[in-house]
Amino acid sequence: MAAGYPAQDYFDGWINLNDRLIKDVTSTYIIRVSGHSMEVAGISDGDELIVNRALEPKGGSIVVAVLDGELTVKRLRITPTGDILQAENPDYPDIRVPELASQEIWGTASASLHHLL
Amino acid sequence: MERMQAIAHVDVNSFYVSAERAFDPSLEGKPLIVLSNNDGCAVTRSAEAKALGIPMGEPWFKLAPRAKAWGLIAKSSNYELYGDVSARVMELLGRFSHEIENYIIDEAFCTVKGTGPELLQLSRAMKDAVRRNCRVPVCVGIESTTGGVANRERADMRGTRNTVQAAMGDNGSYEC
Repeated sequence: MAAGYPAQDYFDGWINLNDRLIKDVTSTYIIRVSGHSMEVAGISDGDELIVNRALEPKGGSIVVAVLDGELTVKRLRITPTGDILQAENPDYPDIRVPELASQEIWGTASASLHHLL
Repeated sequence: MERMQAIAHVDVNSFYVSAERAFDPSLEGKPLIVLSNNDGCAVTRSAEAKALGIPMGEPWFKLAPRAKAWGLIAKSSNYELYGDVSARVMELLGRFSHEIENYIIDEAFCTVKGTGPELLQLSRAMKDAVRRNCRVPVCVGIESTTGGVANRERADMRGTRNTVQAAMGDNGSYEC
């Protein structure tokens, strides 16, 4: 057997999507989205969101929020007159909330697994 | 100030119920029970369910006829979920302690060290971290193993008081 190919020395393992997408396993959850309100942001019906509960939600973050006991995915806008849960689809209205308490933000999305097929 | 060697006892409140609520916020504030295998009997009760007078281990067939009138929600047990939440809680606690005894699915004993105020701060940090990362409420009780009481956080651990006292020896009693 010949001594193989030089390229073998450089193989460094397969790409691990967990390493790539999940910074903190303990705080990270994967949530499947239903509905169309976030389509413009690249989040479609049936996509999975990688949600990190350790991240501090900021204005502009895509968050999973608790609204009337339901979980909803929206973009968080923080304004002087209160917080807005903004849909990323012109067909859906923004939702104004006086001020979201920390327990009303379920988590902050870090990536969307957007399915193309 | 003297640094003490202490044990932190961490207990998730109504664990199965809290784990269900973590992923379904509509269950918050409602009387909720989790049933044993094959929906036999109530094995975990929320505070609201306890307030209805539902005893631990009450068979579901006895509760079912009245559930609707009470607004009582019963969930079949989902051990995959509870195992996942438990693993996350334990991993988080490991960030605060170099030695952790995973006592049961929702309880752990952690060896910690520090002055009284440091231990108080630590117990709050543990509680907040678990609440934040796992969305389940926990109680943390810290007691010194070198004498004296370091801190008593409100703990829902009536059933485990004897265990805690056994672990603590004669160094102070545990109050809930």
